[in-house]
Amino acid sequence: MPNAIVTGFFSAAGTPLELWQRNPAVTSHPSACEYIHLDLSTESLGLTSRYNCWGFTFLPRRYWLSRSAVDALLQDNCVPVPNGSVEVGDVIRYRAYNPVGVLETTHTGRVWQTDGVGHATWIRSKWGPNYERIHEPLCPDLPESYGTDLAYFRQHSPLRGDSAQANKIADLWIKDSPSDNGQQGIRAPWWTSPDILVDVPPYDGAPDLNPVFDHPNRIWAVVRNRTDQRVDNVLVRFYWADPAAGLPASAWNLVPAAPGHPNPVGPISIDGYASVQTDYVEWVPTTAPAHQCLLAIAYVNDNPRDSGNPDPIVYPFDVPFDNNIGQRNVEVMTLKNGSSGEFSIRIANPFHTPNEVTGFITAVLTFSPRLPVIGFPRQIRPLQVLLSLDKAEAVSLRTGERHQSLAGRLIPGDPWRRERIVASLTLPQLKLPPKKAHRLDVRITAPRNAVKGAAYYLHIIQTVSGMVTGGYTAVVVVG
Amino acid sequence: MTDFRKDVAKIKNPEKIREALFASGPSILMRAFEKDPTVARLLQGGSRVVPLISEEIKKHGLKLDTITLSCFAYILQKVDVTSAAAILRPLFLEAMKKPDPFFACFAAHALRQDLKLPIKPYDPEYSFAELQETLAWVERTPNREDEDA
Repeated sequence: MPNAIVTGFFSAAGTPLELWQRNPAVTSHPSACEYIHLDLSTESLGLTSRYNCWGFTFLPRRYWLSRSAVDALLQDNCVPVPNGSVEVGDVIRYRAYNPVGVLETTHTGRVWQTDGVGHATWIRSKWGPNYERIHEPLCPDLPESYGTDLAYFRQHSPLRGDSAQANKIADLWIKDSPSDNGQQGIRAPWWTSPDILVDVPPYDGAPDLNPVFDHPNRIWAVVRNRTDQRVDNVLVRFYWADPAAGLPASAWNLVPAAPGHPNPVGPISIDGYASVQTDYVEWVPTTAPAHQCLLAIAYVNDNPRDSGNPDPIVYPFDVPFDNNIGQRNVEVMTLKNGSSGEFSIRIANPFHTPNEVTGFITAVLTFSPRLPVIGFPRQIRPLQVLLSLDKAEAVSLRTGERHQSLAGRLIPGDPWRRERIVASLTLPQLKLPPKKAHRLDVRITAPRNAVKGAAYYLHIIQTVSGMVTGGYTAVVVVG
Repeated sequence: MTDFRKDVAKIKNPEKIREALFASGPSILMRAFEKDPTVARLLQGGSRVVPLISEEIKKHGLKLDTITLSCFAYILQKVDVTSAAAILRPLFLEAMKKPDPFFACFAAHALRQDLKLPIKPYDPEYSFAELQETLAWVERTPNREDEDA
């Protein structure tokens, strides 16, 4: 494979970017990060000159970027983020002084984990032609030449292409939540995608609240393209899973294809800055166990070594990290004043690796007024929520405490669906073995004097090492 | 006495150059060269290392690893820019048919200095346009070795 300059890529401000096509050969390395294919087979991302740290950060795994391209992208496609406000998915930039005292960009990566209060704790980056790894920002073996001048940025725009061309650059996006803006990063509740839709019998083509059991449900998705260039040959795979907070890849079940309704759906084309509604797949959920989690992946191919893929999947099965992937883990229930509803979900180890981890389950009850533009009542009457883990004695969510530390971190500001936290509870630390799930039973009772038409959201959030690793949301409408 | 031949052989394995395999661009690679003890010894050898490096380049050419070639170009440019230009010229002409972000830049750095074209002494990162400009200058400038002959 010859080395070559690649043209036709631009920053958000239109600055041409210098990219190099280099030798795509990969040498396996035991410490290199792995890629999980859609069939769950894995491959080492290994050592390769195909892409460098800048290529990993901004054009994942496709090309080798020049430093001038990275400086242009940091300037045109990103905004600086002060330390203390750093989020997962933000860009970290390293700089060092050259011999004449000028600071030069030496390295970039993506924030892989934070301490929850705005400081990066782990970084994912590729070290030159070496391998992709996860490391502390200033780890002991960090190359001295990278320097210690660190800064953080948030990427607001993807790269642009030549809009007269097609299939060189794309950014396929399925919303993770109503307030998702397409940027990379974990912003819970990322399991509340409004882009995965269900039409139940009798079919009217309009989305319904919940799937129905034992009948074919029509599932489709809205897929957007955040760049200016048309992309062809897009496929969308649909999965179902048991309702759970924490879903390893092995718990994703491909919705079986039906005559005339293949899964994956496609190929489809999406114009630049446009969206499409896919064809539907047919899904027959059964009642035991309840199947109410739906997932969708938009992709062109599943080859992490294909430089020609306009939008590679970077983190397969990782809903919050990869905006090609969406999850709808939502149940909508209508409760009359004084009545109760119940459901159960699984609490599982969210990782693909065979190691036990420990985590926490936090339940957060929020309130949204009937007409958010009118505002909140002076006094919000909370629902009574009882949680029982593995059939243990039920515990109730607590009101009247300080819940504000959760706001912003778990519930993003959303001008269209303002939620105010009214009660919460964190269960004691939980061991999460690799192949065994806990069961969480939830009972919700609407107060007799609840405001009719108001909506409550019960977000059940799993965290491992301070990261939100899964969740389930029950929407309760007072009817 | 320092065995420069051993050091040149060591550079032929880019893994032996400290931090060289972590560089994402020629400027960071230059920072790695500046801190590497083997490279420092060869620089101290001055003009004595030129024939050794020239011999390796003539023998193996572009079959050498791009980081090794970049390191050789860096050392040659530091110790004798005129010799560097003469040795690197044919390789640069060949390399520009399939340009690489490392060696093409380091070779251009030496050639541009010899041709009195603008350079940033501590930053060998050149755009593709600058590499092509260098190529055009090299192509229309007579080779000193030819003139000497």
